[in-house]
Amino acid sequence: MPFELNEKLKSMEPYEPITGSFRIRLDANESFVPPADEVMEDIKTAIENLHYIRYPDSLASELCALAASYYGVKPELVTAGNGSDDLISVIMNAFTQRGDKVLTFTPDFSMYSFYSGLIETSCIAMPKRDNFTIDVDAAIKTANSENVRLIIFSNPCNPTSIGLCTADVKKLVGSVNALVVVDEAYMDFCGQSLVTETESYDNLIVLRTMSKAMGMAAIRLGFAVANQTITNLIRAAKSPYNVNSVSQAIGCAVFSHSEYIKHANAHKCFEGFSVC
Amino acid sequence: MEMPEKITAIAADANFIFAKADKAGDLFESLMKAGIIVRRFDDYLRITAGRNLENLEVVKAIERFYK
Repeated sequence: MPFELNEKLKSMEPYEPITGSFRIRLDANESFVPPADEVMEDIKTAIENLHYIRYPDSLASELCALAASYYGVKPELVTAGNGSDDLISVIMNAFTQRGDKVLTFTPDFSMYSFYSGLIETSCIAMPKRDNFTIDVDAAIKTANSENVRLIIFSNPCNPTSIGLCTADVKKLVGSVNALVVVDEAYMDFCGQSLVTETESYDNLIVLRTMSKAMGMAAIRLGFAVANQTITNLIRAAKSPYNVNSVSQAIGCAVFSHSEYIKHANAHKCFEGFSVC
Repeated sequence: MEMPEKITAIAADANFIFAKADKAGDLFESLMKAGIIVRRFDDYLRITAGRNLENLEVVKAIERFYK
């Protein structure tokens, strides 16, 4: 009998980022600030001193401790991933299963609905208002009436660059039974983070990344911050060695210059707009 | 950044703008020909903040397109 693809794979195509040679690349929301010389020196030292024959630290303990210190949270609440994308995949796979309902918004980062399709959950893609803001009350109503298991969105939003204020996000998280995953990949530019408040909720995961404001897209490091119960489950569900030792070492070197990173982050790219 | 009226950025809470643009597809192609790559979402372009000189070059290329 010939090999047959299952239904969910039949329409699937590889993600194809724009390739080619361009003088000016402004298509991937990367930072334009390369690591400072003193950061680069520490990166070189870190990768020279690695134990290349050994598997990585499966919990990336040193990296998570430094990330925790930077974000102002407890180290035991932080899980590192091979980019936030790895964590989105792990979280959606672990916390939802076939037939569950997932709530996303449109437009938003495309990978949320992609993973939903792969897991065979039912994705409710709620349109945003005409001005691209999220109608939080409508989202709460839908989440509760449809018995949604997981809500995921980016804040600030990719691609609209609109931030949702903390009061609105808290209202959403506090009013639904679903797990709420707030992808704060761009929050360093916005200042409306809930990263220090995950222990106040039994249903909140905040994702952060080194790929944007910190200018380290090449090493693929993301972090999930959640209460202890959820964190234990994320750690249980992820693959054991999901973050390689090179990235862990480089991430540690960068976080050891936290004042420099904060200064770099403080540079807001555009003026004249504000959240809320 | 001053932009021509035919392109309007809706917000900038991150390191990129999302801008509604007349003839977005043609503008996207025009920018590519000028060596500038951005992301297109139907009638909108998502443009990452670059270095000052890069940003200026983008603005000039957009102005040239709408002239």
